[in-house]
Amino acid sequence: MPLVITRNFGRENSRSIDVYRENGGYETLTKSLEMEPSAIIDEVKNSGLRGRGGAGFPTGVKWTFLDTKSGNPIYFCVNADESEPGTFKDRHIMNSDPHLLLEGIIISCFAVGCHKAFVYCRGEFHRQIEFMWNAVEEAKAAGFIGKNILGSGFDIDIVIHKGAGAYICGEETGLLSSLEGNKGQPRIKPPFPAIKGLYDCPTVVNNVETICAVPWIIENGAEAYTAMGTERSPGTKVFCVSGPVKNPNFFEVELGYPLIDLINNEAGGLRDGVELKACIPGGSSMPILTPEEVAEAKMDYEALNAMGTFLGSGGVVVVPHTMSIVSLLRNLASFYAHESCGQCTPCREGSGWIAKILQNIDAGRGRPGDIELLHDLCDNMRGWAHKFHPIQPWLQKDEGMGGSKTICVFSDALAWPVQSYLIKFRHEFEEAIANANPSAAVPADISEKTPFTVLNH
Amino acid sequence: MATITVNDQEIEVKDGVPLLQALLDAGIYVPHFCYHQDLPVDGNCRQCLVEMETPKGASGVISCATPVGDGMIVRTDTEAIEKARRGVLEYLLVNHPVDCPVCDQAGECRLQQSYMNYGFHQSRVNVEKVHKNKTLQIGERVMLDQERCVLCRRCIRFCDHVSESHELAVGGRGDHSYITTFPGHKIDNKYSVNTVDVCPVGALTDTDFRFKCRVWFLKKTDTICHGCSRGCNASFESYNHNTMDELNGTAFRLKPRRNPEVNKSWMCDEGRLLYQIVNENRIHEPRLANGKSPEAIAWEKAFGSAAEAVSGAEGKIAGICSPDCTNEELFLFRRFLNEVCGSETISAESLRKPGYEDDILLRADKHPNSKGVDFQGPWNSFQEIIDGVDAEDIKVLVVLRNDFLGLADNGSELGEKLAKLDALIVIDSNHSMTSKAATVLLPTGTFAERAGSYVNFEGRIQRTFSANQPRWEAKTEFEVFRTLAAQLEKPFKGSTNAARVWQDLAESVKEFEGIALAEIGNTGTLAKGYETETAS
Repeated sequence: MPLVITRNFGRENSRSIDVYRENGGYETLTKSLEMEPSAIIDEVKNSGLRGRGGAGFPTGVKWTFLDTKSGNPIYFCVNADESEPGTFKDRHIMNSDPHLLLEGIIISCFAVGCHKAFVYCRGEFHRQIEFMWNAVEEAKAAGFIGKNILGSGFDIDIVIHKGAGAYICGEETGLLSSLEGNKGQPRIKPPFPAIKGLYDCPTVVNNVETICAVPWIIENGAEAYTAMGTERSPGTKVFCVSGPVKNPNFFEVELGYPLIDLINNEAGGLRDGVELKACIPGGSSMPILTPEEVAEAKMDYEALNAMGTFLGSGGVVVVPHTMSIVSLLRNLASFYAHESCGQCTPCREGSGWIAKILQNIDAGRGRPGDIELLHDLCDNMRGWAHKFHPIQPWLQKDEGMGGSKTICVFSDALAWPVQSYLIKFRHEFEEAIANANPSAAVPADISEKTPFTVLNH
Repeated sequence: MATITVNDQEIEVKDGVPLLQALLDAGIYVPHFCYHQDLPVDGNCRQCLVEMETPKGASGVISCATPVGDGMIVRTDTEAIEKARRGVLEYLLVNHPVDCPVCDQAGECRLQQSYMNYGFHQSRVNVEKVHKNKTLQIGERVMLDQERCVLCRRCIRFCDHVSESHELAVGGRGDHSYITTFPGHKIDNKYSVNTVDVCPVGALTDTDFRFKCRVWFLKKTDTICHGCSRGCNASFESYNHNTMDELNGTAFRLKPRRNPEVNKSWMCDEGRLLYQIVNENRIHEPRLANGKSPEAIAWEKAFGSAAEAVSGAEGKIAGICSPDCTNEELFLFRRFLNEVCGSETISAESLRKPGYEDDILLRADKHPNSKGVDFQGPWNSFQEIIDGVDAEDIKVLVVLRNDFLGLADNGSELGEKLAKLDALIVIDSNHSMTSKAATVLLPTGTFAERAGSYVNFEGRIQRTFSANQPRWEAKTEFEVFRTLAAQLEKPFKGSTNAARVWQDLAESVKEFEGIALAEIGNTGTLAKGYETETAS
């Protein structure tokens, strides 16, 4: 299988522009500048490339939503705010092949008519940001970024922007708010960024991995891309496997690859003495899979949707038999409570409440009725995926009204794991509650009983 | 106009307005916190959810962020909506402190009302609530309790879009978010108390009103602020209850009343404090000063003395009123001077200097009825009258609501000239330099104790209503003129019926011609010749 994203990884000095060019780098750009921009968009559309950040929206189609008649400049934002727990692919792309990303950006900007692109990089990626800065300088010196690049008449500028440490800035409108200098708080959609995005101008937001696929697609053609993967999920994806496996790492494989093979072959299987208890297939926001489900799961968007979960960012987290699901969920919920932006009521209050209930259960202070309470709270937060994604089969009861109970899908990203863990591993929670000890010690969790003045961030 | 279907009924609504506003205007109540008619939409409370038909089936949307579109099909009454609303309400209550017994907002609190509507008396919350700062005085008039805050951000939107002073922001993240000013700064604009008004809960409270009175003891009367020529529509709130009825009539606050043409939902901080003159420094009873210190007397004696002075003057009388008077007062005062006192010499000039003005609400002209005075000319100038007094052509001066001695730059000089008068009859509500110089002082009611109309700076006629009869021994000015007229055995045409008085006025003042009292209503109407002026 040809490597689309990771082809240059492992080469010595792979970040250098010279090494990149020695291996064919920037030749596709040269070729693209002689194509019609609309032809590039068509090629990407026909390739069936889908957003690799988590939502899986067809990229070429997203590009066609841009309002080209507004009279305002078009902006292109690359989402390098990789914060989904379990995901570490974009980081390695920027570590090993920043020029691939730059080439992808320039080609994409040429296609949609954008002259200024931003790479919004999470603030914790100090080294990756430095690598990107250096790459931009190298590309400028070589004439690939700047005015009238390669004599084509096309101007392009790329700005590497550093975030300040918020998961919610990975949400596209949160990213735009942060980029504009405001708090990274998501905006109400509609209007969508393609119509009114950065500075109220038409904007495209794409994930790093998505854009890195563009040079290969233009070089080799859409058909070559669709020859890999499945019919509705063509191409390859970089999956990250973490947990107690012998070879935790990232792997580029075709979409549709069996999950069990990813764990046992590429990742070397579980460590000696460790059994599989559960697996998160696509980043912490996605419903969890039992071992039986793992045996059947195929890593593509449709197959996982049919099982009631999502491919998401492709962050596979392997859960060993030694891990308490209650503790796992408590840890997860604390993360979401910490990262909620706080704008809308259900998510702001709900995430904090859910996290505290789970802390109580995990600390042996659970109460009868807590499981039902958690389900009810999740139902009241969740709604974005109700009608616009297949109904999760593991939810047996009617979940009431779908739609926009919240400003963004963050609350669903909390509700999906919470409800899936509660349903599939209910016995663990019931046990924790049954064994509750009212005088149990308070766990050393930062948001518990910490004075408000200390907690501010 | 657009036609939408709500709960199977077709209704006509204004095109382009938020769906929530259209529903509220049509009388269909949808609970909401962060939406405010005069602030930009934020859509963060998620309480205004309604179900809308989409090609993919019924879906929940927030009605404040959904502009009305022709043909929309909306439901506000399904079980799913109920559950969603209860859900949001429960979330709002998770960290909200149960401060009702000590919170000023009780009785006019949106959250309290909602939770009573939904019967949320048993809480499912069994975790520790988030604690924040509780008594932060973030401005001279504004007290912040961060725990009570539901983070609707109305206060921030007010400071950003109306006062444009940008003092407020949200600090922190998630359920540890809190409203704050920038470190070291306070809310420092002339409209800060509006943030207290827009706050749907007791997070922002007025320091002037703090802990003073429970709102269910207060009676609301529609009035017009008399602080400047904008004439903001206001609600005068005074005590009205049978417990502690000795307090009845005591004024507690002025709050704005919404008028989209004049002041939207806002009022300036200064104007709000004008309620204080109803309580403080009032002239309680008539006084007489016959060359010695003024002494309190009974009304009979006061009327007697005043009538004596008037008949003794034999027409050498002049009157001074001011643009603080209502149209009705100006009209009746002139009639009183003409027909009862036999004089045509009258001035409505005020010595109050223009003050601060901006393009939000405050006007430089600090009188409520300057335009009304213009309509009812001709008037003599103030100087003409003083010259007349000096030349002893005027022996008796009747003053209605004009503290010229206090406002004048040359007060003592004026005082000396006034000494030449046989009598200085002053009709006013509060003590002033002029009232102290009166030989006969007749107390009348403040702005809250009379009904009438003003004309604001753009020619809008607006009505003010009376909360109660004048307090203490004060009488309405109509009562004063009528009784004096009776004492002097002269007829005096007037009425306590507002419609009749207005009709009288409308027949004599060309700018009021053809306008019926009902037309003015509670939101005012533009005078004749001013209809094309647009609000600024």
